[in-house]
Amino acid sequence: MLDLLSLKAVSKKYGIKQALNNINLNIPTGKIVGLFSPKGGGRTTLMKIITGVLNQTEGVVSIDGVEPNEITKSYVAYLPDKIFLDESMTIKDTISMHADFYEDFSKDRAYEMFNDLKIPDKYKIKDLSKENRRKLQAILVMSRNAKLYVLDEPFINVDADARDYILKIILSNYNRNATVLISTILTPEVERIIDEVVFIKDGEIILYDTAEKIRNEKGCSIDEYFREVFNVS
Amino acid sequence: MSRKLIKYEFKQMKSALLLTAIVFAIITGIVFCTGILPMLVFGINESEGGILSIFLASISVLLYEVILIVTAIGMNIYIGVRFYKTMYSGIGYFTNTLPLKKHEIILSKIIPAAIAQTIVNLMIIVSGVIIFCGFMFATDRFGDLMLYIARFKGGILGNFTMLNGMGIVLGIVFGCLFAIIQIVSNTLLLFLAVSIGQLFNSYKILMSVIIFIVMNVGLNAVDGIINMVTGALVHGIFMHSPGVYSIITMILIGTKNIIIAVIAYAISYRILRDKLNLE
Repeated sequence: MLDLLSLKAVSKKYGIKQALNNINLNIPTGKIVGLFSPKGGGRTTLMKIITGVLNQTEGVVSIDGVEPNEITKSYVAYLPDKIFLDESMTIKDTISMHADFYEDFSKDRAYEMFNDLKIPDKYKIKDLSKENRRKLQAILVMSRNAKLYVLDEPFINVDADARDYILKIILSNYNRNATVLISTILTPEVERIIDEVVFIKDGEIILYDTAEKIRNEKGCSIDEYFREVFNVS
Repeated sequence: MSRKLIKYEFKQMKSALLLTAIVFAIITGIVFCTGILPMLVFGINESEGGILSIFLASISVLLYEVILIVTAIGMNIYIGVRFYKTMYSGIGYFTNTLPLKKHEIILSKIIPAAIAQTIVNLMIIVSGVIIFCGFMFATDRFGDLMLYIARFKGGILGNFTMLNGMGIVLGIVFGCLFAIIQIVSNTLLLFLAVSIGQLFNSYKILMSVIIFIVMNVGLNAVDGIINMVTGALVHGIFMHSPGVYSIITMILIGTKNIIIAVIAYAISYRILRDKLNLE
């Protein structure tokens, strides 16, 4: 299968701190890949490099054969772990803005999902609760018909209901021919959907395999294996 | 594509500009009522009412100037903070992942910011003219004002005619061009300060403010040196055409501003491309 995302000897340093070290990764099209590491392991840095928000210190990144630039940004949908919405804008303007900038954005799909929230679109972002802002961000990202979805902690700082809602949005809306790179806490629901697993420790990849193979070989769930590898209780 | 970003940027700045216009309208109205109206009613003689009206006029004009300066600085702060928020804070994740070149992104921030600054400057001019004309009218010196305008036309701007034969039109074009260069240069300097400020791991906005102040102090010193040198070298030579001194100073300061703008743009672009440090 053709590799959509390829990283060759990618390293990143923040001053003297080595955030990523010699990352080599080839991710094919049409897979859901889970990226897991303890806090500070380097997964957010890796996602920022893939989306072109950050430059690597060394190595080569290519998405569909192209280094991250304004062209790849037109087919990479990024959901960061921060709120990226402009508080002073209305929801309607925010949706229109995404439709204006991304050719693969479906306004109809966005409204279809947004209407479930039962919030008038004339509201400003600052009027939304933290959970609803996270939901809206997920809606905006998943309304794109992207080739690569990069989802960094989509369930961070949300309650269980919001987590379920966001997961539902992700699963029911991603382009089936696309690759989804997701970094999140491991729940049984998340574990069920993941095809491939990447473990990152101290900026280095220590495991990259299919979820099925890990489960069969180790005789435990990915979550259990993660806890074992990283000594997390 | 960058036109769309400019459009949204304007849309977001609209309320700040509207608020500034309202503030200017209210302040102009208040100063007119408290500073000029008493002079019209009581006159400016030595009676009790006259003294009071002069006192009120002085206080009003002083407060008016302070508020004008605060509002102009406020607009600068607003533009700087908006640039920081949309480029380097949470919203920066959206802005920096748009399918746009970095040049397009910077330009779509500069153009609305420079236009907003121009609009605020125009508001200051309009408000100032209203107050000034009112003051002249109230002090029975409206005739003097007309005389000043005539002198201004024939005197200062006449020097353009003496210099190159193009007259008042060139004077206005030259003045506008100088003002635009000044505004763009100031905006780029502001963006540069914010871009350097975000390189710090904490107190990013505070660092940006300090850098902006330091850069402005340094550049004002350069302006002072230009004025001094031009004065020393040129003033004596063109003693009979005083406008030449102003024109040469404006050209030199304008050139300095263009150089500053280019440098500020290049460094901001480099930081945005290679040293992005999103929160």
